[in-house]
Amino acid sequence: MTNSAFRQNVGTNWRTALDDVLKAAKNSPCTACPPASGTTLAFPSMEKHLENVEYFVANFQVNAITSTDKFFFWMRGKKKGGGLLADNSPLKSEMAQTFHELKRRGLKEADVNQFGANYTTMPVNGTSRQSDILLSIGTHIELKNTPYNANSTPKVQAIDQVIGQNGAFGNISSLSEFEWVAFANRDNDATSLKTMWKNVFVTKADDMFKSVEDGGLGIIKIKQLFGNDVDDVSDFLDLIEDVSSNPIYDFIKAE
Amino acid sequence: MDLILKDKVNSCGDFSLIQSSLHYVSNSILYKYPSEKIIELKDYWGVHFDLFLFNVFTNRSNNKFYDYLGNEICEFDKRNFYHIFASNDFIYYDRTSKKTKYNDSNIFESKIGGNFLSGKSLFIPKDNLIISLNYTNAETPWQYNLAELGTYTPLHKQEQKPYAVRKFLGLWQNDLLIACDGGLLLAINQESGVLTRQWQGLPKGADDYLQSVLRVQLPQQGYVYQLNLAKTRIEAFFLHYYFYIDLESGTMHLINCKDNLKKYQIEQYKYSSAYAEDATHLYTKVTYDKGTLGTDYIPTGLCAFNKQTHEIDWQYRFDQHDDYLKTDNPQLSDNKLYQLSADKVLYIFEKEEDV
Repeated sequence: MTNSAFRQNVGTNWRTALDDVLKAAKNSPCTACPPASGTTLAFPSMEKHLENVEYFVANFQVNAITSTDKFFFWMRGKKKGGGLLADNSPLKSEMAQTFHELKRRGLKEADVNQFGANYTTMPVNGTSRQSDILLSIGTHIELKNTPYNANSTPKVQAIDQVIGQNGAFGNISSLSEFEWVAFANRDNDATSLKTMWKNVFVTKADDMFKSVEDGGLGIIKIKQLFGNDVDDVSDFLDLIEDVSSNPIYDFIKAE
Repeated sequence: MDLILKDKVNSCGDFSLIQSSLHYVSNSILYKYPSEKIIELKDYWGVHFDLFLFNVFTNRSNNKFYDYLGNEICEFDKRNFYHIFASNDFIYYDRTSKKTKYNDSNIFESKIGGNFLSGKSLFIPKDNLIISLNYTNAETPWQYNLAELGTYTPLHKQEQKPYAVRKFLGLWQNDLLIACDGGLLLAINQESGVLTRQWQGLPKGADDYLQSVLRVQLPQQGYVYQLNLAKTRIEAFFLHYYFYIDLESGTMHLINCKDNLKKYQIEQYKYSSAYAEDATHLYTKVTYDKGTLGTDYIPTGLCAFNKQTHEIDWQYRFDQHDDYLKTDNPQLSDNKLYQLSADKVLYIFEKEEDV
């Protein structure tokens, strides 16, 4: 990094910035370290993380996209409003996973509309009505840095954030416009995640299949997302029954 | 040209414009605008409006047909209706026999999805196939296999996907126009099933920004394309561009609206599955530049796009009224523009022409 895009883009105080990045990433185990555990699981290896930081700094300006600036604070272990982030701050995990996704997908500034996009103008319940990355092509990406298994039940907010009428499903016109990505580093695998979401769908189907007036997704949205052949709950339950190679579950990923 | 907000209907659910009359559900009552009560709805989750009747259905597949005076005409269980021609004449999926039927006759071995009806022909998307079906005699004159066109890679993803029909746009002369997910538009002769034309990739002259963001492809969401009222163009709004295909010549065109949108702090058109249109304008949703406006959310609005000048003649910001837009599309009838908001308010605008 000493003769890199990082150095060129950060400028004269790059040594201090690099020190901060290294300190803030001390949760990242190096490849020669013992197996990751605890909060280190929320990070890629130190080597990968530094590559991800360099990719981010090389491709994103501080204020070109709304909410990019927060990452320039977080990567140095600082809060946007001042002060230091705690060692185990979830904001650091969010930053590490976001950088991982940006580099993995080769996303550049023009590809991202914004970070931390509200689905609604007036979000209810804090950030539950928000996705982490909104791409310029209209796709929302929600990142999760939590270990799940097939029998997990996501938190109420995490469910509402996806299937609620003011969450992702209420604000997209096609399932291809949403990705729910759980960090693979946290032992997540796609099949288990899909089974977990199938269980959520089964439990919540009656709530989804209500009129919009009554708090559900409504008939127009259901058909937009799941197809014209879904007329009632039983059609939907048939559609989601098979988890393997079912395109309905393509939006769920472990990366 | 101006549009004036004339009225708002609060707590609005499903609505439709039947012969220029607004019919809407509010607090579980179906009204004819402004406040003529037609029926009270119970245990419903959707209303499907047809020209001479409406279908109230539950999430347990019970359907009741009513006329617009509120008289119940008939009731059906275990049927998914596709096309209702009259109260005793329809195409539906029979959930008991698991077949699609035209009245009492079996016409197809399974559901027929987002099909398109043209005369006596149904065009059915089924896996990789588009199947032509005469519903009066259950014959299938042709089928077209989309697998012949290969696969595509969704942007920013790794997997390969087969092309799939997202939307039948309508007919141009004798060609069926089809938008597929993956940025592919097709014209197939409706009688022979022969592929006559296809459009893929950005038109010549696409700027660097667009080539970079879309990786030199057309938008992959097939739902954004629409056939215009005159049936001469396929058109779409995306990012800060208006895109159209002139069907006569087959040429693709891109209009960069960035400078014009910027005058109103509009960042881009919101990806939409339908646009309202009249003789002079197209009406669609937009998002504003939250950086310039200093908001911590993306403000949403509605605009009138002049078909001649390609400029914005009118726009309306919903966040200035403590509201916002999700994916509901504007609808137009009889010089009035209707837009349902996220707060379940139906905004009714009236068009005033310049004197």
